[in-house]
Amino acid sequence: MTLTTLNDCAWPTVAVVTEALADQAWRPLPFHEFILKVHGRCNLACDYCYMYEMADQSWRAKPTVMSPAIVAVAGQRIAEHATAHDLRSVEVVLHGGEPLLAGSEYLRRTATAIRAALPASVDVRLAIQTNGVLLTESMLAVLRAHQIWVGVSLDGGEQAHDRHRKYARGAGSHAAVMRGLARLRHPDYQHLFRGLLCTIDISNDPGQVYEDLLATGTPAMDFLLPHANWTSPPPGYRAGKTGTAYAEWLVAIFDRWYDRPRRETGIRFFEEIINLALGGASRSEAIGLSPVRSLVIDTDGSIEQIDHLKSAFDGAPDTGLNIATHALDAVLTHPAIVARQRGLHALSDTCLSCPVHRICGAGLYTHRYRPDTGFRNPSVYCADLRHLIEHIRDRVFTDLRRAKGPHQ
Amino acid sequence: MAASTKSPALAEVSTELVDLSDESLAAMLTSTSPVLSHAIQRAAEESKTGTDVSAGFNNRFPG
Repeated sequence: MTLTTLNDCAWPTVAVVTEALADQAWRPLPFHEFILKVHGRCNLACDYCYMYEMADQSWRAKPTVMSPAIVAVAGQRIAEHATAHDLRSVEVVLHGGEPLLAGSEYLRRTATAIRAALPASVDVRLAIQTNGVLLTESMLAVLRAHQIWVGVSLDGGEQAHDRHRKYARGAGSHAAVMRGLARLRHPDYQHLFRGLLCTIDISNDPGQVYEDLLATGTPAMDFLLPHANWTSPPPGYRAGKTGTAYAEWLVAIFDRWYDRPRRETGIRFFEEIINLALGGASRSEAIGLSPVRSLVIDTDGSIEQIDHLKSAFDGAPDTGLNIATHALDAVLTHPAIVARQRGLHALSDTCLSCPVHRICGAGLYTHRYRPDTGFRNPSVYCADLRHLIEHIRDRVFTDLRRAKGPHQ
Repeated sequence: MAASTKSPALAEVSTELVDLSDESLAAMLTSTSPVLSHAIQRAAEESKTGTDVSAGFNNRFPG
């Protein structure tokens, strides 16, 4: 989706920017989360991967590794942006593909370069999201030395995880991930461990998945709906139809987690919904109306929107801009960037008439895609989201009503 | 109470909650609803700091 094709494209169009800039109460919000694609390939072949297995195939033409020269320019552009907007902190996520394929020495140099590029007044938080199979001692030592937080992808126990997360030759990766997690949980490195991402497969027993993830000692976990849209439906659903199978799967985990005598772990999706139900705002792009202030810089320096848009159509995350020639400010008024900072203005009339729209926010942007109308639609998971939100809200408010009883 | 000023829906649940501080409510819930207690504490903290919340990238931890 380049600027030159936007006028022919379904929503969002250039008119979104015109309308937004005419709104006296709104101005573009600077980015503060930067996803650097340090490595463009992966050592696994997960069959649901939005990078390699879905509509966009641009990875084939892009460099395998982000060169040191491009890393340097990325650091300069982020510093320029942070200074221009007086940012106090930024988060830089080393991503891919599989970022650990770049090697520990590369990651050491990259972390050093990024921190050196930013002014001392800016708190730089580095993080990495990995499939976990390359979490060796030497790698962890570098991550620790450079204070790089670690997120790992794990879909449950061996059977659940290896259903999709396999090596190209077909072998499952669970055993290798568990070895990596065991090293990560060593007292020297445990403070780096931030959480597990689990992509949902409704054929896996939800309770067992939760217990298997919990058994890793993770401080937090999140459950990701498989990337899908109105023409590429979720596994188990037919095109154009919604259902509640995913909500029921999640509700099973929610009730188990919520009813435990102590809070065993954080579950991001659920906690954001609870916070929204209490009147707060969401920290996740998967739910709610909070503005998105994240940007991707690909291995060739191209500036992109959130990369899971690759699941929608070929070229979906493209902005047509590159850090070699453009400051990051140039993207602030890109229609798709603006659309994701406009809260209620981005919702369809169907969503606006829904009683839970202020919690839901139409779910993850990518899941709203329909070729004829673009992204101003309900989520393909609409019925699931409503079912889950209403269940969580009912549980929360029931407990609040009970809490007031003895203290009247 | 901070939560009630943020959420009319919360005040509709129970007007008695209006007179409770978030800390008191969280403490009440600790033994019966530890997850909710934690959530109330978070909501109270965010309300005090006035943090501008943005939506983080889904495909990474930390959030």
